[in-house]
Formats: sequence, structure tokens, C-alpha cells
Amino acid sequence: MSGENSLIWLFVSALLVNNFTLAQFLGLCPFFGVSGRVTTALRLGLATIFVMVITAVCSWVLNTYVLHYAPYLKVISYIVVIASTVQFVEMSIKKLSPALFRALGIFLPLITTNCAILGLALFSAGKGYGLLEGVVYAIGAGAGFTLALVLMAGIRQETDLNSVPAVIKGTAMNLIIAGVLSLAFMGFAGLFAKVFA
Amino acid sequence: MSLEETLDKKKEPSSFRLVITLTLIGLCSGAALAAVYVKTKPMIDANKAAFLEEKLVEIFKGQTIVTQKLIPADGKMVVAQSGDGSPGVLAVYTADGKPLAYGLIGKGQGYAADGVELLFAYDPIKEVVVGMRALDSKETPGFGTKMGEEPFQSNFKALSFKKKVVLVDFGKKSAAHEVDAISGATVTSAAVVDAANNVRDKWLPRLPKPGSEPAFQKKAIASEGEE
Amino acid sequence: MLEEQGQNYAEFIKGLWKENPVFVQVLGMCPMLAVTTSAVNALAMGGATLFVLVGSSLFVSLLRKYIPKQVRISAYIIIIATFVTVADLVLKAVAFKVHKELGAFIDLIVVNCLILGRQEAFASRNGVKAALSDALGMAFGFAIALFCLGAVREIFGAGQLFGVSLFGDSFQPWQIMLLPPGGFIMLGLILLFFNQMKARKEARLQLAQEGPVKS
Repeated sequence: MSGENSLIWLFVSALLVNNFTLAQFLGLCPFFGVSGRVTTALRLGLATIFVMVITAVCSWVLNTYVLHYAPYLKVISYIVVIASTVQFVEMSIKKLSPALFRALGIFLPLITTNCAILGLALFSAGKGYGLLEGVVYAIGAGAGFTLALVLMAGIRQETDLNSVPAVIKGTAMNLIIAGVLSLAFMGFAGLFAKVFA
Repeated sequence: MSLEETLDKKKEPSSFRLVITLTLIGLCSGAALAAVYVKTKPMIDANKAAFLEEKLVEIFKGQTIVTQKLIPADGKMVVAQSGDGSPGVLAVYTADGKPLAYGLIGKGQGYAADGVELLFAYDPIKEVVVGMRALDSKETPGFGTKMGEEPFQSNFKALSFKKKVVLVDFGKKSAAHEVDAISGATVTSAAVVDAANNVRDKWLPRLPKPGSEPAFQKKAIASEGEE
Repeated sequence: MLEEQGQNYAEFIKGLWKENPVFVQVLGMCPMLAVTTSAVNALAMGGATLFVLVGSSLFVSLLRKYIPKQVRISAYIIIIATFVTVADLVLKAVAFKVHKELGAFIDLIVVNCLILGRQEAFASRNGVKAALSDALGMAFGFAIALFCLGAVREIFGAGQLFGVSLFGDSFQPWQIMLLPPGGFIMLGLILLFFNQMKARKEARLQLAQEGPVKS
């Protein structure tokens, strides 16, 4: 890696240039499923960032000490780590803030099947990130996911009351909105590459 | 507790049963995976080696070549044992064992960190790269293919590694160590140059001096593992 | 016997159209958009998903009486992850270039909500034959959806189908089709088309039931 590969670029790249949702197609189930409310989206996003960071740490430990001997156990061990982390987060939130627990409802356990988290673990391992890089990458990726989620929720909040032909309402419209968002984010690629690279 | 709750509790399986079930399933999975892994590893290694050789054959069109993998050990480059997955270079020889070039693999940062993985064929006597092929590209499709086409490819027919490789605007190449960018794809071009310099920094100091390369061992099966 | 066969057939058919995982249930969005840059990749992903779904459903159905309710999700996940890893290794050994194209998305099959969903909703509650029919139907439905999007994106984005150039050299490929925005928008349009057909069918059914409206 060239010397200019700073942690800042890593963060910005994961957040904007290679946004996990709008550029890498990860985390789309919650992206299309979460209700069109910005507050819910924000809360889910933050919970996801938290799970991602813990996953990044655990998967780094796994990679460094265990998976050398059994690389084929990669997928199983990551998903077990993720499922356990989500279970743990669920129990903690239930104890610490029952109100938040109720607000998040079904979305909390669904974080386990969020491909963004497993994707994060796999990509991190593939690129050979160290512990600090892995955590920064996780925060950037999670923030990018949250950003996409919040943007989508905001737009849906606005357009929910517009009169739209019945055939396009629902997922079809959301996909096209996502497409436009994705197009906008592509613009970041050229801008930041010039600034940081 | 009410009568109902007590009855319900009796129906719940014990924690022991839960743990045992999961452990059994886990063990069976592990065993199955270990078996499949052992069975497929030789095929996968052969695929990886063939893939690299195919690219080198493309670069040295018209010549029959053979390759073997060298890895660093004790300050020298030695022939790797078959199945060795540690990072190394691919030494290229003519059909009668004369050393020809080295296949150097490197990654470069473009749009995506680690956006491109490239193979450079390097001639150590003339100290130039004689060819480049993309092995993996997570760059935007379309620009990725331009990497493999003229006029960008012509940069790598005699790219000097004597100095650090530098990217210049399209059409402005004036020195042997400069690379003309793909017009309209500066970032991807920068990734390629990044990869070239990474490879230059990492492997050039370690390559055997011309004349003291390890001889080609017919029995050694070159195989490339995880980098 | 015949009734059971009819039942199994019904389970199979529903996955293809009425309960199509992508067009109706809106599951498996991630791979749907990520690997449909060409028809070949789409079919390869469909094949891998078929293997994982059928394999997992088989085992979940076989073991359904032995897996305690409390740990069922974890158990299903381990079973699914095993099949995914097997698919990954076999694909690397047998079709190296295709594996390179699909990349991490083979591993991501394990979090494809479609697979876990079918285990939870069907395979854990039904016999082996029914579970297999359901799995096959859903997997084929998924593969068909993948192929539709993959073919369209490849035709417009590269002027090819299965690598065979369709329009000759003068065709200027609509490159956005191969990039993320194109994927989103194209799938949105396909869904729109699908909804339109459904709405028309329902309108026709209603008309047939009620008779023409008297003005």
C-alpha cells in the first residue's frame, strides 16, 4: 500500500466512495424494509455500526489466531460471531433501555442477516486490515449504511403523501429512488480520489 | 408459579440438550468442511497456478515458457514447495530452462482500496517491465477493460523500473518510467501505477542477481496460494 | 399418493411465480443487484443458491424433530453456512473464473434472507419431499429472476448475451447498466412491469366476476 493510505481515506472511502449500500449492494433488506421514518432508520443504523465494530474486532482476532489452520471455517465462524454479538446487543438494549428495545422491535434480530456485516468481515479479511484499520473501516462502512438508510427514509417520508400511480408504489419506486441516490454517490468517487489519493 | 407455568417449564428442553445439539451440528459441519477442503485444495491450487501461467503465456506470445514459484527464505529466493501459499514471485524460463523474466504480482489502490491486482512481467537484465495483465479488478466495469487494451497496454512493453513509476496525462509520456493515463480514467490509471510501485518496492531488492537465478526444477509444481 | 404428488407440485410451482422470492417476496436483493452484470454470473449465482437452499432444506427437514426450538435459528445458520462453504470451495475448484466474478457474494448467500426464511417458514414444519419441492421452486424462481435482470443488464450494458456480441461494433454500450444505479433502476422497472401485469390480471378477474359495468 502506498504511504498516503491514511485512515481518513479508509473512512471516507467506506462512507462515500464505496458506500456499502449504494455502491456495493450490501444491507439492502433493511434498506428497503425499514419504514420510511428517519428516527427509526437512524437508530437501526447506529445499532448496526455498533455490531459492525464488535464484529471487526472479533473477526480480526479469529483471522490472526484461528483461521490460519482452517480457512474453510471462515464463513461459519464469522456468522456465529455476528449472531452472538446481535444476541448480546439485544439483551443489553433490553436491559438498559426498554423503550429503545420496543422502538427497534423486529429489526434488532434482523441485523444478523444484514449482509453488510458479514460483507464487512469478509472484505476486511480479504484486504488484510490490521485491528485499527478494521475498526475504522467498520465505522466508515456502518456510517455509510446509516447514511443511505437515513436518506432513503427521509425521501420516503416526503414522498409518502404524494400521488403516485399504484403500480409503481412500493418496492419498484424505492428501487428507482435508490438508483438515483446511487448515481449521486458515484459523483463522490472522482472528487475524493483527487483530494486524497 | 401457576400450574401452567410449571407444566410449561417441564416441556422445555434442558440447557444441556441445547448445547449438545448445537455442538453436534457444529462438529458434523466442521468435519464435512474439512473433508471437502482437503479434496478440493489441489484442484484450487492448480487452478490458481494455471490462471497465472495463462497470463504469462499471453505476455510472452510466441515463446514456450515454463514457470516456477520462488519465495524469500534466508535472504535469498528459493524454489517453493508445491502447495506453498506464501507470497512470492513466479520465475519464467524458456523451454530449455534459460531464465527469462519474473512475474510480479501487486495490488494498487484506485476507486476501491485494493482496486486492482496486476501481474507484471519484469526483465531483470534490461530492468524493464515487458508486459502487464490484470488479475482481478474491482474498479468500475468498462474502465477495467481499458486496462487490458491499447493504448494503455503499450505503456508496459518497456516500462523502466530504474526509477519510481510516474503517471502523466494522456499523450505526455516522455520518459521510460512514465505511464500515460487512460484518458477519462485517471483514478484507475493511478491504481495501476500504484500497483507497479508497490511491486517495485517489494520485490526488486529481493530478486536474484542476473546469472545467479535458481535453476528450473522440472519436478517442482508451481502453485500459488493466498497472497 | 397422487394427492401428495399434487401437493408437492403445488409447492414447487408457487416459488416460480405466485410467491417468487424476488418479484413478490422482495428477498435476496443483495445478490440480485450485485451479480447480475452478466447472464452467466446470474445463472452461476442461481445455481449456487439452488445448491445451498436444497441442501439446507433437506437437512433441516430431516432433523426438524431433533432441533430444539430455542436454538433453531443458530442451527439453521450453521447448516446453511456449511453448504455455502462447500459451494464456494467446489466452485473455486471447478470453475475458477466464474468464482472470481462472483467473489464474496457466494459467501454472502449465507445471509440471503430467502434461505433462512424458507427454513423457518417451511422446511422446519414439513416432510422432506414437500420441503425439497418448496426449495426447488423457490430456488428456480430466484434463478429465473436473476437471469432476467442479468440478461437485460448484459444486453444493454455490454451489447452481449452470454459473451456473444449482439449488435456489432457500432453499438455504444449503455454502461450505467453495469454499474449500481443501473441495477437499481432496471430492477425497479422490471418490478413495475410485473406489478402492471398483476394489476391487469386482477382487473380482468374482477371484470369476469362482476360482469361489465353498467354506465
